[in-house]
Amino acid sequence: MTGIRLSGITKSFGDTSVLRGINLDIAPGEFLTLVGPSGCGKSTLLRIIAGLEEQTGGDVEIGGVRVNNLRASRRDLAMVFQSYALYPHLTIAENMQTPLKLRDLTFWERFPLIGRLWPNYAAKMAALNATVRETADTLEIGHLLGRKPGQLSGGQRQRAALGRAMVRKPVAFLMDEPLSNLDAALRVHMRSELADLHRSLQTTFIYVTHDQAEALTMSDRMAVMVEGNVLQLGTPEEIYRTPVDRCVAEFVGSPKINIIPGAADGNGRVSAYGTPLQQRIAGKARRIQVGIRPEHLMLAPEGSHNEGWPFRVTHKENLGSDFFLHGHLNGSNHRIIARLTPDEVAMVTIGSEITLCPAPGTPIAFDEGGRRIGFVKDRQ
Amino acid sequence: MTARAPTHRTHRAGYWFVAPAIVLMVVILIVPILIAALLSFTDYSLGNPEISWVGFENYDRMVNRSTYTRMITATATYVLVVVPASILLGLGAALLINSVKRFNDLYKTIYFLPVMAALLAMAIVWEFSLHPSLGIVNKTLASGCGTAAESVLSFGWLPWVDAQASWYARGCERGFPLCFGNKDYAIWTICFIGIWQAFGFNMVLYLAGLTSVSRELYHAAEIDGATSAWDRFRLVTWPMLGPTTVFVVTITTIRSFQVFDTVEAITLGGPSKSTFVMMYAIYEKAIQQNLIGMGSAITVVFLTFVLLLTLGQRYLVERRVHYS
Amino acid sequence: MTGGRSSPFAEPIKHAILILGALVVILPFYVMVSYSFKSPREIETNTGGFFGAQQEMVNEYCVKLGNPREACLETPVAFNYSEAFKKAPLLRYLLNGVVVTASIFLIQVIIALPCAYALSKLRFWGRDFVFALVLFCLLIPVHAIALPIYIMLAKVGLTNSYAALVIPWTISVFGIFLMRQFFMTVPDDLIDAARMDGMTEFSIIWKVMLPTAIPALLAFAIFSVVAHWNDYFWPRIAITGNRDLYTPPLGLREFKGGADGSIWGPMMATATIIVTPLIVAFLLAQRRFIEGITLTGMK
Repeated sequence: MTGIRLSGITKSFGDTSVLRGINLDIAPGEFLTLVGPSGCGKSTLLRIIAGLEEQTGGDVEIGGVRVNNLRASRRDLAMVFQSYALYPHLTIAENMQTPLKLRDLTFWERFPLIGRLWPNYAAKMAALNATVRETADTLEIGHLLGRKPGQLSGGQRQRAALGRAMVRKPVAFLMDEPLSNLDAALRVHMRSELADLHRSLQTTFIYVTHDQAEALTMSDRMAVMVEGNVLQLGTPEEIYRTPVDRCVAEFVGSPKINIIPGAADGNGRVSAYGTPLQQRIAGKARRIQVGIRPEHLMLAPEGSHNEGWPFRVTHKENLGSDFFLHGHLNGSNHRIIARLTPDEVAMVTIGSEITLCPAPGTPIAFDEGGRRIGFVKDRQ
Repeated sequence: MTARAPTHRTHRAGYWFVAPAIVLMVVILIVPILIAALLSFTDYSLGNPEISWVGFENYDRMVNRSTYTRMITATATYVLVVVPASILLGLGAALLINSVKRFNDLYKTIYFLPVMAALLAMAIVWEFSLHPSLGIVNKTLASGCGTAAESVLSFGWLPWVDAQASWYARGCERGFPLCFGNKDYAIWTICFIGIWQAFGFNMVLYLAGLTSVSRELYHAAEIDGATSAWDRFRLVTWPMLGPTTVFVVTITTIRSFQVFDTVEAITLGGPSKSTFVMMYAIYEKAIQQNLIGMGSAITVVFLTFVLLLTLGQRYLVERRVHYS
Repeated sequence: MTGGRSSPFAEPIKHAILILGALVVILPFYVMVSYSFKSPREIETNTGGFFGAQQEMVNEYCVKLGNPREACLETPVAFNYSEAFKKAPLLRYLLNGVVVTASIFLIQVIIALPCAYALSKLRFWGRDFVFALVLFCLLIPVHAIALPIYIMLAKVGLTNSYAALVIPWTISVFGIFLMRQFFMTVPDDLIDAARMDGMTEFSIIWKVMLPTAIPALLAFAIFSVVAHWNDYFWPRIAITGNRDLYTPPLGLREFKGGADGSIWGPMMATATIIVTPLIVAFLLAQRRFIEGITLTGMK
């Protein structure tokens, strides 16, 4: 198992800076996701790791060896592309044979028609085909080996692309939004399959996606990227609970986190929109922003109006298992979304006023610049 | 393939719109084929009061008389030389132009000029350029006699070549070969002009094809280990150019069969019928010599070739369509 | 292309090859234009650089007509180009070229556009049969059946006329096919809206479909104009004696027929005049041309 290290990677196209100094230490065998909105540079970074693009500055090390001058084919990496990039004119078997042929056969053995005259050809091809078969069986596409990519469904092509990457037994797999061309149901299914695959192969996976749900569900660690910078690197849990700033908090979690204006009074007490919170903050009195996720809002229990926010409902979304209430905090324009259970909203109608309060320990505080402020332990 | 037009009523206007086209198609395209087929079994000439049937005599002549066997040879030579050469050159030019960083448009423009210029005019200019005494080509070669150019171009620097007996040395002594007047060389020179005129067109089609190849395929090939240009070409470029190639082959072949201008302007089918291509044969036999029957037979054979070729292309495309 | 580190020699070598090719390609153009500027002696001896030293020469024909030598001096370029127009009515030939090419294209559009519209947007019994007919006729190159068409024209006495030059080309099956493919991409709603507005099907063709089809029409125009301006085979067959009807290539060929020593200059001048219009048009609108060729090619 091999680790990959990126030190100070920068990339500019002319005057435009796409990557502004990326430092990442990818542990051997881990599933690391690069996630961020379109244009944040994650695909570029992946291609730089692969060797398909050259960085403007910085180093890429694979297994402790600096590989900046090695071209892609020599880095022992495999890549799965967004559009799968299967050779349309070759069968699936031939697609999967291609990297092995290019590696194991000499130029003349590969030459069309006359290659098979060479003495070692048959033996090499037999070994090659055995590997292909084995990999195909693992991915359950053994019965598709004779078909061409055009005859396969999206999910099958996905697996074929994976197969082509796997036959080389690379030190790491690079994946560029491989699931984005699949429909929603298939995507959910493939997420767990990829996670299983990672576990069984025990190889490093570097995965690029713009879908934060994919990142949260599949990764060991995720790096949230915005505009060429890694804002935060951590486990999904860390990113979700303790985002380093408001940007990260808003990117992860769907629907987006609600942001409410608040204040710290200098003595540690915090309030949001007039309602005091249980947590405490060190530092002087100042204005802050408080983030509270829709799923962490609840209906205040009867008779506790001081502990919650008055909320006027403007819109209800019924998803069957959950209800999303859209509305405003009374007396302001701040739009809030709250996720409640069907029981809780049984009585709620559009236009009615209810009181929402946060589940204990869930609000997150940000200073005016957006950086998260850590809470100090309660005295009590 | 059919448009979803409203089904509630028939558009009678449609009949009026297609009628002129149908009439013209039948009269100008279909009826002539039938006439040619009919007349090929006669020895009709314009001005004859009646038509007399001669059965397969015309076709028989085509296989037996040397004039006509040479016609087939000349046409076959021309097609079999010009088609591969102009396609390979077109592909090569497209690959080269696609891969250099500067002056791409300039090269593209220059290489495409022959396609726009009237072939008759340019054929005459080529004839002039290759003229034994006045032509710039021969003059330039002659001025190189006795200089360093001769030692290079006579290939004397290759160990097994005798510089004194080389083509260049002989040319310096006896005058450079008559490109058109020599029955061994004439057809090749005609081919050369044909290639010169045709490859720019193929180049443009290949350039368009190249830009439509997905870049991700090249990335995948790179990652798979295809490092050399040859590997990339064989694995990605050539297969993805498949449909383009099929089209280019068909178009170039059909146009090659139709060569006429160069022959009529320069060699008039000679010397010794070495450049007696089919279209020129039709012109000479049917129009100039008024042997309509014979001309019709050649026309029928010609049409058959073209039909087989085009159907062959359609079949190949059907079989090889791959979805990306 | 993909991050390959190729040798630093690769680029210059590629340029060297391309330049060599370009020289071969350009050679006849160079010869044609350059020699159209030169005097007979310069032509024979291949001197004078590109433009020829414009030394005044004696116009032998002028002398033969009885004029004194001194009055017959002119520069070679003037001689060549004026001879080009005098020896044969080149202006007339050019006019013929324009008339014939324009007529062909116009009639092609008039025939093809309604047919394409009907095949793509209208429903009527037999529509599929008509389309099958179109596809079949695509297999027939008109040059291949030149002979029987000539015979038919001869029988109705139409040879040696503008009609003969134009008629065989009026039906452009390729044009019908191209336009139909293009029309199929026009949304049906647009046409229905026009119908609701009260437009007849006929006006729909010219007022709704035509404007949207300009790119395809342009491509077709280029294809048609280039093919027919440069066409030599059919005019050669169709025009059997009336020199007034010669198209430019025929005019040039006739020029060559009476070749003697001093005729090369004017002949090159004629060739230049014939070839220049399309070359200039191409240079001015290259992208259009190449797009057009590619568009027609890919269909």
